[in-house]
Amino acid sequence: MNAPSTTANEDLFAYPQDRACPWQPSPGYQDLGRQGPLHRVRLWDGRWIWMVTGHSQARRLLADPRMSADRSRDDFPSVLPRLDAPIFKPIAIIGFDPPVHDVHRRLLAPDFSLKQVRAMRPHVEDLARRLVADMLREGPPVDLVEAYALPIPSMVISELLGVPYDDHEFFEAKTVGLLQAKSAEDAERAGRELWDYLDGLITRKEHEPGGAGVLSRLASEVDEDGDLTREDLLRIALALLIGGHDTTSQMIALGVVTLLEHPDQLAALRADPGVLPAAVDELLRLVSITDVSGVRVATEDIEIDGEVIRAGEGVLVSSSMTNRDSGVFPRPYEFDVHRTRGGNAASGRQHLTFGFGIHQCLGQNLARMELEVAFSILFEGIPDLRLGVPLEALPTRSGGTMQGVHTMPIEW
Amino acid sequence: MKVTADRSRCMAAGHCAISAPDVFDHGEDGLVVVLDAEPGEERRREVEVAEDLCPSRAIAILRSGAVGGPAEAGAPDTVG
Repeated sequence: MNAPSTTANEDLFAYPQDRACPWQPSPGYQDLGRQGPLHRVRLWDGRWIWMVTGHSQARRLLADPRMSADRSRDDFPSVLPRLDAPIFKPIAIIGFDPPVHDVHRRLLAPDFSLKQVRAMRPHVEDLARRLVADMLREGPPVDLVEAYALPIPSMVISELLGVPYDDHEFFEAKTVGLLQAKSAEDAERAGRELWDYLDGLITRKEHEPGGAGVLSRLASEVDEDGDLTREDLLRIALALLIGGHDTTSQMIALGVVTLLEHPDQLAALRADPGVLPAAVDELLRLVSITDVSGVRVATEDIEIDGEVIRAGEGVLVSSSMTNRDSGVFPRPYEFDVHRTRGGNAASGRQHLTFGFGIHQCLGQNLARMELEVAFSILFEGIPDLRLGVPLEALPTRSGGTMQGVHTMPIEW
Repeated sequence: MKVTADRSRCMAAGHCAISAPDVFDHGEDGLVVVLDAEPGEERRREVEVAEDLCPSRAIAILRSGAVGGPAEAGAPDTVG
């Protein structure tokens, strides 16, 4: 059994570990990846969990219905202290198993579909151009996170959901407070403030039906005896709001860093704008912004590659390492925007940054579109863009799994 | 080649419509729609990519009369 007997687990690899380079996994993960596809690692609370670094093993496990994503289960592992906060137990969609998961996910599928995302693109391009013009007017140095990387996804998700962008400073700060908290108590406090805010917003939408955005539509579909209770709606609103801007903004920032540090790849992208979609997936693969493709708990014994994952044992899939499985990605540590050359361009989507199985990211096509727009319009508008501090001096996030920078000074 | 798409499994990831746009699309509900259930052999590569990428295993290429399903689908009913 997976008893948290700290003495027995002391020799195991301690998870998580910080990166030494913004776009490469920690040296410790790289060592693990060389040893095989499945590893036992020790968490902050002394519990051990399986860490998956092999691509095919990860896909099999993430698509296996015997693996539960239900965060309200007593045996569901908390990878970080903050994830012990009641607000995460469970978080909508990603923290539910079928059938509830499937019902909620399908309620949202039309809003995040490819066609919907394509229809939004010109609007996001206008937004990015406006932000670039503002940066040029202000002049260097500028914090790219505050001036560009955060406003794009934040405005996009606000409009999509029907959350007033005027409240962005509040919900951005509370999201960071929730996702970067050092303790469950701090996470819970920030999460409850967001919850209360969304509760008030949904109450207003209930009183003024017919408003714009996904939350307005869903507010009119609430049925306490049906598939969507008011509490479900609040949980969905919270999940979409926090999931909709933090990771994308950090992916824009670290994507720009990665491009700037690989001038040959940036030049290749500039030379052929047709390579943009493949370059975005290559950046998603390389940077692996969340560092985790999914956390699950086994509900039955599962045999995989000669190992047995016992019922009740936790599994965490490393996106950064499964994205470096050399059986799938030759020269896996190299950034190569032409990786899919000669094949179907969509095969660049094999990375597991968005997860796999039924929980694969709902907003992945929205995120891809935002990243394509953000990179192309930034480098078109500010062609001589450079980092305003040495790479080593970037204030990077630490102690967690979601990668990022607190600020990112740029010059031109 | 014959292809099928199971809308009860579809989670609207959209990979199929990107990799094989002449074979797959999605409807107003965001879920998969098959445009061409018997695509020519020249489409095999892209349909295989669509099958491989589908995270909820909704896409299948029918092989020699049986639903093939992805080789790695280990569990009896592999959606997870």
